[in-house]
Order: sequence, then C-alpha cells, then structure tokens
Amino acid sequence: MSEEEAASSFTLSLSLEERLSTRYATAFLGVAGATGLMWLLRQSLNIANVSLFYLLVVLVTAIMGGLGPAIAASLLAFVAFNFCFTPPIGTLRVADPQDWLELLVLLGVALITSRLAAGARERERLAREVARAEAELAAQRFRETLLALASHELRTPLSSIKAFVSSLRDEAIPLSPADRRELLAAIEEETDHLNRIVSNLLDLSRLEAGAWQPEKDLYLFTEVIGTVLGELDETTAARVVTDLPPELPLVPLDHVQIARVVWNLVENALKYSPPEATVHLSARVEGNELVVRVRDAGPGLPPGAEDKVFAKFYRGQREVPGAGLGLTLCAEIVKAHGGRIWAENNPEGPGATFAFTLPLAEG
Amino acid sequence: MVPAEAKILVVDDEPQIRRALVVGLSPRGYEVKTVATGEEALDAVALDPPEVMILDLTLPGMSGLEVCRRVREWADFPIIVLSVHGEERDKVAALEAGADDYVTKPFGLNELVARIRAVLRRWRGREEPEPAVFTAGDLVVDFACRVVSVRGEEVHLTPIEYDLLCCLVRNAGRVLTHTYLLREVWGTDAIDETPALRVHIGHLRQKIEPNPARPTYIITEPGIGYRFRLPA
Repeated sequence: MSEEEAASSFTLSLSLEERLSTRYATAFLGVAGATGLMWLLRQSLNIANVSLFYLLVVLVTAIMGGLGPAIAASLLAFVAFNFCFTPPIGTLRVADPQDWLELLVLLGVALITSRLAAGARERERLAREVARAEAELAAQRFRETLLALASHELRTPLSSIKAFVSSLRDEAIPLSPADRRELLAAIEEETDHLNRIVSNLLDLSRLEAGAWQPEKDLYLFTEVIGTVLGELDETTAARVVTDLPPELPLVPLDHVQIARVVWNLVENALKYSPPEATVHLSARVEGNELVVRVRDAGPGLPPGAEDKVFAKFYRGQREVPGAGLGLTLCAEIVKAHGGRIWAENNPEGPGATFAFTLPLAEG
Repeated sequence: MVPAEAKILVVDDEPQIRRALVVGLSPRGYEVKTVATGEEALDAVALDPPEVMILDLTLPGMSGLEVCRRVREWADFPIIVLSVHGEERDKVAALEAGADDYVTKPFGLNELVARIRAVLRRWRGREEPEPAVFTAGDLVVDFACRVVSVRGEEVHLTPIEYDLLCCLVRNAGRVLTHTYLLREVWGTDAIDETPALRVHIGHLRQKIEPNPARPTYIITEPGIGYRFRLPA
C-alpha cells in the first residue's frame, strides 16, 4: 500500500468511525434529553408514560442509527429509567420483576425496528439502483436509435448529391446548360437539407445530455416568427399565412431554441402539404400561456398517431424523410421550456394542426 | 493586369475550407493567402497586413478569438469570423473583441463575398464625410432634418426609435450586438434592458417594414443582436 493509499484508507475508516460515534452520541443524547425532560415533569407524569417516552427514543434511534445505537439506547434508557424513576430512586437495584420486562420490551423494540428500518433503507437503495439502470438503458437506446435514424436520414441527401455530381462529371452525357443549372441547384438544396439534419441531430444530443438549457429572456413572439420566415425564401415564405394579434405580451423563451421549434413545424407543414397550399401559423394568449398553432393541408395523421408523432423518432409517411428528428427535437425543446406540444387532425377539411404552448409567467 | 479587389488572409485549419476559399475567391479578383493556425496568422499579418481577414473561430492552439484580440491591439483591417451552428456566445465574444462580422458554416460563397464587400465598403468609406441622407429601397432617412420616410410618406418615430434606426443604418450591413445598441442608444451597460430594446425594434418594424412579420430591413440575429440589411 502506498503512503497515499494508506492515508486515504485512514481517512475513510476515520470518517466511518466518526459516523458511528455520531450515531451512538445521538442515542446517548436522546436518552439523556428524554431523562432530563421527564425528570423536570416527574410530578405530573405517571411511570407508564415515562417508559412510553423511552420507547419513543429507542424507536427513533433504531430508525435513524440502526441496531447498535438502538441497543445502546435501550440499555441506557433502562438504566436511566431504573435510576431516576423506579423505586428505590437513586439506585440501580431492581425491586420489581416488572422492570425486567420493561428492559426486555425496550430491547425487543430496538431489535425489530432497526431491522425494519434497515430493510426499508435497503429497498430504497435497490429502487434507486433500478431507476439509475433504467435511465442508463433508456439513454443507451436513445443513442442507438439516434444513430440508426441519423445514418438513414443522412444517407438520402448524400445519395442524391453523389448521383447529381457524378452525372455532372460524366463527360459522356451531354447536358444542356439548363440541366446543369438544375442539377447544381438540386445539389445546393440537398446540402442545405443535410445541414439541417446535422443541426437537429446536434441540438437533440445536446438537449438530451442536458448541455443545452434554454437561456430564457423576454421576447415578442412576432420576432421569433420573423426569424423563421426570414430563413425561408420569398416564394416559400409567401405560402405561410400568419395570424397574430397586434399586441402579444412578452414571452420568456430562448429565441434560438423556439425559432428551431417553429421552423421545424413550419417546414414539416410545408413538406406534407400540396405544393401550392398555404400553411397557417397563429399565436394566441389562452389563460396564462401562449398557444402557437401550425395548420397544414397535408394528408393528416393516421388514426391513433396523434400522440405517437412526438414520441422519440416517430416518422409519418415513409417517403417523406426527416420528420423523425425534427419533431423529437421540438418536443424536447418545448418540454425544457415547461410547455406542452401536441398534434391533431383538423376538424374540418384535410390536414393536421401541430400546436405547442409556452408559459407566460417565468416558472 | 487588373488590380486585385483586395488582399485576403484566410485562417482555417481545415484544408478543404482553405481550398474552397482559394478556388472561390481568386476568380472573383481577390488575392488570397491562407494559413492554418493562429500563430501563423499573426506572423502573416506582421509581414504583410491583409485588407480583410477571414478567421475560423475553432483553431487548434491559439483560438480564433485570441487571434482577433491580438490583431486588434495593433492592426486595423476588417475581420470576418467563421463559426458553426450553435456558437452564439462565441460569435458575440468575437464581435465584442473587434470582429466586424461573422458567417456561419456551411456558407455559400455568394454570402461570404457579400459580407467581404460590405466590410470593405464600410472600411474604405470611414474617412469620407457621412452623407446627409441615407436611402435603402423605399426607406429614406434624412439625418439633417431628422425625417424618416417610407414610400415617400413621412413616418413619425419616437426619439428612441429614431436613434435606434440611425444607429442601425449608419452601420448598415453590420451586425450590432444587444450590448452595443444599448450602449449607443440608451447609454447603458445594463443588459437586462434587452427586452425593452426588442419592444422598440418591434415598433420600429411596424413603422418601416413592408411586412413586419417577415422583416427585410431590420434583421434579427438570434442570440446576438440586429443587422440593417441593405437591399441586394
């Protein structure tokens, strides 16, 4: 054993000793305190109550300190009881065999209670361990699913970019300038798509690791919408119809995060709606929260999918990529803001509405 | 030979980025020199100061932020920093350390060239007297008469809104941090006044933007500040 190890094990045993002696000291103080208190009240107490009081001290010691201190407490209580309260007072002589019964009861209580308390502590420790293992497993499963989904989602734009570039490079294929322009535009679009997937992925893992806490400040919600619409090109932005009351209150939110939520919901709505259809984006104060709704004109959600859609990595139609990461990210961000998020089919007409809330008061 | 548009020093540890910038900027008439580390960047600046520096924030060894600070101690040319998604704090720190603008990776070359042109225009026009009237699209700010008009119609602004607008258009194209705007317009260092700043910007947008829901003049830079965007 190195000097350092010896030193550290010494500290360890010392601290254990310290803990033990604290427990015994508590037992002693408990009995002494109870004795002192009852001595002061002895005129008005009858002897049976005195022993009940000692019983209470032993019970508490057993729960807090375990078996050893509880036995010490029962012996001390017996001695104190005998010396101070049972005749002949001031001696340790036991005149009445009943008093021996008293000691036996105290010892029995100490034994049983401390075993019970130890059992409860053990069960608690086990439950904590099970919870920790479950959390670990969930995190592990999260990472695996994320990885699988990410590689699937990343592969789609990567494949198209590869295909487009190889056609451009193949000198045997005659391409008109218009074709070339179209291919190049498609490559740029797919690159942006890749970038969005990577951003979602990065944000999701940062959130999951607790490394992206919302930095809330007071914002006009209109400003968040302005940021989102500003990221869309003019033609696409024109497909988003906004419906905002002129005076919305300031809302505590993290601008970057909530803009990501709105952006993902709007992008999703645009993706699922027919190319010319409009998407409606509204915000209202309802009660003490802001409710934001994004209504699309898409095929709507399959029955029963309303709750599932925000579950981690759910995906709607197979042929539309990317919904999985985006909606999961939205749900995590809204949750971190103390809000709710849900989806429902539009009561009249086609399509679905995705909505989330943000508490207005700083909570 | 046509004179170079400007001498540019690119500081990035990724060979692919250096290559992309040389390939993209040289045909546009820029004279591009590249280095891979902050230390090399300081040497290159001492030897032959560029007219614009394009500086990656995440460098091995000396950080981009540190390079920015050191360069600002003795050299005077615009710095555009390159950063990645999710590094708002780093961007603010770089702007406060003297960077003039930032571009988020991945970026299109057109965007970068637009930023280079904007910083050069501002830098080269520093010595010239300020024009008495500023015009951008259908917005006109007459500094002498303190009159703002949109599509020929005079707009009534509160004194704070007017000061804010002046601060933004005098730095048109440049991103101004919340801290900068609060200091310039309110004369305060109190960052907790930022919500008030947002409310005034909101009012200003209602008055000058064609579509306040999708601002085209006063652009929000989330987590950083505001930028007055000149129409293309």
